[in-house]
Amino acid sequence: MMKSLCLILAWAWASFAWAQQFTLSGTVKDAASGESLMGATIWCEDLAVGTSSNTFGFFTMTLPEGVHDIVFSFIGYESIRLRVDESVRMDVGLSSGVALQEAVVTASEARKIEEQVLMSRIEVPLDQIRALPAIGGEVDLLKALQWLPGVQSGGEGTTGLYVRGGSPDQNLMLLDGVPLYSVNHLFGFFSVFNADAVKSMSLTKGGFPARYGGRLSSILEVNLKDGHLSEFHADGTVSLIASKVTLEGPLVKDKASFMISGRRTYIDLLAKPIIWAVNATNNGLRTDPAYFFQDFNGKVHWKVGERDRLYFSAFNSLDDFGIATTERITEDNGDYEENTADLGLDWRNAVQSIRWAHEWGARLFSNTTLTRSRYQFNTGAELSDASSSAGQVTTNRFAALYKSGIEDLGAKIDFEFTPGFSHLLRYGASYTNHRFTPGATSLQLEAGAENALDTLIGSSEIRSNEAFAYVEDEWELSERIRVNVGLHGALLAVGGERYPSLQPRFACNIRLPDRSALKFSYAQMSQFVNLLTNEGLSLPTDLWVPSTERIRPQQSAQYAVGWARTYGDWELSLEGYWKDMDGLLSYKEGASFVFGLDADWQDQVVQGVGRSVGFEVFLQRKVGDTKGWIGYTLSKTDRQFDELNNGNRFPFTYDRRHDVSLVITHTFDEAWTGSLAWVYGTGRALTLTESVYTIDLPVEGDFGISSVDVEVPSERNAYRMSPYHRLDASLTRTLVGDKGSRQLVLSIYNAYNNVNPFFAQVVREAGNPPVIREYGIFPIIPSVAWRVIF
Amino acid sequence: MARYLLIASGIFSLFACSKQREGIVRNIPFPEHDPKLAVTAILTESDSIVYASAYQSAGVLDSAGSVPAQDAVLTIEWDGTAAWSWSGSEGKLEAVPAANWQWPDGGVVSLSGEAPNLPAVASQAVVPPPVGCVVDASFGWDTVSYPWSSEVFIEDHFKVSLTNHAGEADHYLLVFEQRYPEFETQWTAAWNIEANLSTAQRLDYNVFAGGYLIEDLDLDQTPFSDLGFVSIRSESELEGEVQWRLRVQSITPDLATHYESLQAFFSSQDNPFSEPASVFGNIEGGFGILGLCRELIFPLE
Repeated sequence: MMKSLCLILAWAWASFAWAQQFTLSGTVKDAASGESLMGATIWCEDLAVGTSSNTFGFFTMTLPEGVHDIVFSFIGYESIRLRVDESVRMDVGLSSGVALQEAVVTASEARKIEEQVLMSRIEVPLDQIRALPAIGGEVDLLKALQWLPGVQSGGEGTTGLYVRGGSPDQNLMLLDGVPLYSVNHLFGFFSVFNADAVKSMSLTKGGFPARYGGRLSSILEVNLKDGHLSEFHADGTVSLIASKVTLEGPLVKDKASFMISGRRTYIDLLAKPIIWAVNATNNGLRTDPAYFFQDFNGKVHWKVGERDRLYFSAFNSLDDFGIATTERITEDNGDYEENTADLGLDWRNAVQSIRWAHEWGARLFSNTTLTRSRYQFNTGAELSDASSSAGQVTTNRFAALYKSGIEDLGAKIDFEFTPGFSHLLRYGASYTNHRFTPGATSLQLEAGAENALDTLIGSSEIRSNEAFAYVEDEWELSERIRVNVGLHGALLAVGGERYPSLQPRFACNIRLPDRSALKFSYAQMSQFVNLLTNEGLSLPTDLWVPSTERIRPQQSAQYAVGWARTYGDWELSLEGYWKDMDGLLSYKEGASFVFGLDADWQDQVVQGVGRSVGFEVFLQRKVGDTKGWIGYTLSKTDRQFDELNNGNRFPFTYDRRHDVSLVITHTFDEAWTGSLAWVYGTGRALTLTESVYTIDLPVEGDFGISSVDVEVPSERNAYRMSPYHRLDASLTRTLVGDKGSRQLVLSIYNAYNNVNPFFAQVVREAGNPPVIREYGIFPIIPSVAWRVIF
Repeated sequence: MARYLLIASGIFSLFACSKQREGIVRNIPFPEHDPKLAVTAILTESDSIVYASAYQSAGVLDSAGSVPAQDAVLTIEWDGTAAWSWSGSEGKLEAVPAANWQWPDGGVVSLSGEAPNLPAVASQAVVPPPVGCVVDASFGWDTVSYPWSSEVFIEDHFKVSLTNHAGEADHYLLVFEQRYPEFETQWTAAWNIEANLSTAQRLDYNVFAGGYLIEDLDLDQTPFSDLGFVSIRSESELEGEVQWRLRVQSITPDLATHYESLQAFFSSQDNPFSEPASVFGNIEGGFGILGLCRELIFPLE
């Protein structure tokens, strides 16, 4: 008791001994556009301490009395050095190296990896991602993340992220602070993030600070551009897949700005003449298939005053697939019969947020966010026929529409407070109302003039309320030891059930004499939403469902230890982790997302535990003409469900023992840039039939079943597909003119045309033992894109 | 130069597509399979003839597949006494037990089996409780018409209430059967009797059992009373031409699981989006199932 009291008093003394300190605060921004810079380094050289700007570019730094040299720096920007000796608020503008065409910040000037308390967090510069090879010329942010250690892809070409043995629903994807539930276009082959509209992106895989919660495996933060505050700019790209355009500029110069960005595929438009031509040759038969996706990002940024900023962000995406067939047979006497079948599916996101960032003073900053996020999936079929006989027309129609979705309304407030030289406190609270509609089917049958059937069948709406509060302190215990310690408390209320959860978080950085650092972290996480999905493909049919009275929340505990050091421009980090997960959801054996009309999804699932152990190596160079990284992951991930695999542990489908990535971008000169990316991964786990036996049923069942052969599967996921490996390359030619620049981007996906298995099938041919035949879907794909920036 | 590179890449990619389509063939290092005895013994109390099957399992590399176990001997016993045995090499085996034989209430029934060159197998099952059931077959004689047919149909309604043993998980199988006595002596599954919508949520129709499974795995939360069924026949079918009956079976939990897993297994074979499934068995040292049933038959007149 006495010991605890002493500790509290010591903390209070350290925290509030303000008398001999002063505070530097303000924002860091791009000098030309006025865009706030997230993650800029503010470094006090003489004390060798520093901090980073937050999402809104805000920083605060408390220093002991005296004169100090402060360096403001950001990768790709010219650094600024200032001398301070008293409390001052400043908006610091950094000039981009692209604009200056001169030496810019090197890694040695930026805040080094060994100085950061948090571990397992990666910020990949957007300009580096934009230079990487892309399938169809369409740069994809999520696919770039798959090249990082600890992050694995799902099927070939898909955007699913499997972080440290977790499943895709365990990643919290935040777009300007709003959770997105579906980040896939075209069945997961493209993500909804439009690289041209994005300002920054970071991925946290472990060592989660207390401000994060709600998912077990990772937090992906994507921030949209705020818009240029003083000049209008446009950026347009035409690629083989899609065209997109981004516009940004001031609404009121230096006060308010906007950014809008739209993208659409046009395969459907290009294919229309071909479809019409084919239909013209089929007398009486008309077929109209169509698919497109589109998305829209918009943002308005308003500097209300020196200390207040308002942001309004909106995002919409739509995938729409349909095929309509009409067949008409006309008799000589004018009588006819017409049959129409119209099948379609679409899925869409609609996200809006309002954020208010306010500086209450030099030491206190707040961000208040109101959010709405909605995801909906619809699929339907309509069959109709019409016939005319002697002028009498008869029509029949049958329609079925299946809908599922989730809608969130949320409010959140976050504070950052600097009580003293050695502390940075963050605290806040959040509330979200979830409305799940896990699946409802409406059926309509019209025969002639009568409505024979009009009914709605299926799962009812489920509402849940989720709230959390957190407090964390980034605390410099000594010159060599820094910790981030916090507590995240969450509560889910669903039906009559309450699921409270207290999640301690801890991260520690110990500087070693050789200027490297040892890092440790521990994080407990809880997750109250689940994605019912078949492993392999991310389908729009995947259902988001809440924890309920029958389905307990998912939980995890992750321990990590790491070592980091900077060698010149190179950053090297080694990390090992151990993650235990509980409450994981899986379909029962033989279950499928196509439930019976009267089925409850809760009857289709089982819950179990998982474990992931791994070791990651990450060597990265962020600056210079040659940039890139080498990543290697050695990991083992398994699952255990009492109802699956006889209760025995089995490898997770995406358990990948070895995962290697090599990513290089090189600037040859002002005009030419090239990039290469090579990946290798252990083959995906799969279950195969090992033996077969016959059973005779004593009674002839329906359809004359009396004797059947039953296949006996192997232990779950006991076999492996062939290893995955692929080389992508791209070459960019930039032409700079008076009014802007143009880029021609040539890229090759899967350059040496390896057949990377997307699925495998056991093939039995007469007289030969069965073999496994692996099918890929993407051969070598060359592509070209044309980009205009002005 | 870039143009030529692009054209060459395009042509190369066309050839590359065929490589992707054909796929890559790989031999699978399957382990050697040790054949086992696969026994299916689903026994209904008092049956005059009892059936079982005994097959030899095969590895997936064995093109002959599963074959009847040669000289297999299967024995059923309870209360420490052998009740009957099957033997033979035909796969499908039958035996004639004593007339009107009955399970001991709550007793344990054991099965043992052996065949040359195959490991011996064994299994046990606890006798299920006797069937408790009330059937209300008050015919409704409702006439209905459907948009897809010009004919008038008659709907008859049945209600079935089963005994729910408090604190225990009950497992029932309801099998509707029909026959045209003028032409048939055998009963066959009645295709035109269905559970009504509110009842259907409590039942699972199982193709392999030929009837509806109903269970209260949630211990008494699933109500067993007033299970509604409806039969549909055309008006042109005169009354008396067809006979219906309901067989109500109380079955062992393992048998219920076996039927469900069989259905899940075969459903998953045809559904590319389905999770893989395996068939549940309770035969130690081999494959298959020992299932026990007690039965009451209700004529629906």
